[in-house]
Amino acid sequence: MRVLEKINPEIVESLNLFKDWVFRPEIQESLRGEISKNKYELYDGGQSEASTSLEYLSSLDHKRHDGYPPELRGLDLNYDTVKKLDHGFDDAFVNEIRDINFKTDSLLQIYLGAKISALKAFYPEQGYIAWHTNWNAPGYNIIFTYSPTGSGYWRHIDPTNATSITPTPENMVHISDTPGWHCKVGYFGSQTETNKLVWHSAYTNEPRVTLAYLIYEENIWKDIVKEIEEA
Amino acid sequence: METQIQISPEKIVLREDSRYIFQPRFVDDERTIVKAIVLFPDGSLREMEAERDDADSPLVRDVFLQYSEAEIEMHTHRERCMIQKMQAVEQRAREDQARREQLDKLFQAKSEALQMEGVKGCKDATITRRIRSAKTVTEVHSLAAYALMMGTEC
Repeated sequence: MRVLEKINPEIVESLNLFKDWVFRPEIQESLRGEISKNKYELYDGGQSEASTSLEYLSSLDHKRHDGYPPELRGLDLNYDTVKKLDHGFDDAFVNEIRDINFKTDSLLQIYLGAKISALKAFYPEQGYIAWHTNWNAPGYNIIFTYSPTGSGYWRHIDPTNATSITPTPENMVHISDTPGWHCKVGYFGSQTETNKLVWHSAYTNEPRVTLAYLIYEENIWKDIVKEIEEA
Repeated sequence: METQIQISPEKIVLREDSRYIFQPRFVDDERTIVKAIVLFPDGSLREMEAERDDADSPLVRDVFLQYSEAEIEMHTHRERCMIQKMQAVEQRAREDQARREQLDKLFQAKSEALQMEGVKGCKDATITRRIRSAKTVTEVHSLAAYALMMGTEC
């Protein structure tokens, strides 16, 4: 995984469209209302950060892992996910989510040349996404994260030279959030690509937004990375 | 002589040969056709409709025996709201599908264009970048053609 701290202003403008919507007071009220309804074992037990610990990672049944995070304190606001999970949102709010997804993707997904919008997450304070791999959806990723003051982090296990799906704790990489937007880019492998399999997790002390796009074509992905780097 | 069965005081009055009626409502704006769900003695439910003015229709007779005009209006309003909601959901689903297909086609066009030898080898990187971020398939094809032409001229 590579971190790109400077992002092309045109991309930032599109990212801000989504972030500004998420942080609107009435939207926050709806999102936080939904989050508070759900039970988060680690958060309720005062153990939010346990989700990103090496102990937690070791305790997982790696072979039976399905690629998805075992626990997430936050919301994926991707329209398809919202429809599928059938949150308690009313129709008007689901339509708002649909509109902001369309607006954001019309700018960002098309500009990036990405095939899939993989995630549009909002995390509240003490929000987290527990260790997982996304090995159910391998591909080249572009992950944009917004943090107001940078009080959060991302962790992954560097898979270089890995020969099994079991993560090696010594290879953990800790990347602190930076104030504002930053971007992480990398390939997340499938279950059979052990040296490209990326166990990862994230935690935040403050509200945090992440948008991730999945790109299947390496040449398209390389071009995006190059363009972001040129910012 | 007709026997009358009192089901719900003051509301539903059934004749011996009457059927239970549910959700009676008017189908048209002119209120000339009435539709309802009818419970038959074997337990089956069937949706039936009839012209309101049809004096021989047992359905019309039973509907107006069991429901007031105001109740039928309430069911009519409820059904219209439901139909409107369903139509809106279907419309959104159609739009979502069309949008997904449009995005897929655009991505496919970009992917194919960027894999063409003449485009891949294009010396002007701004062209391939514009293909990547193109908003329409036509734009992708035009830029790919331009890249190929540039290659030919070199």
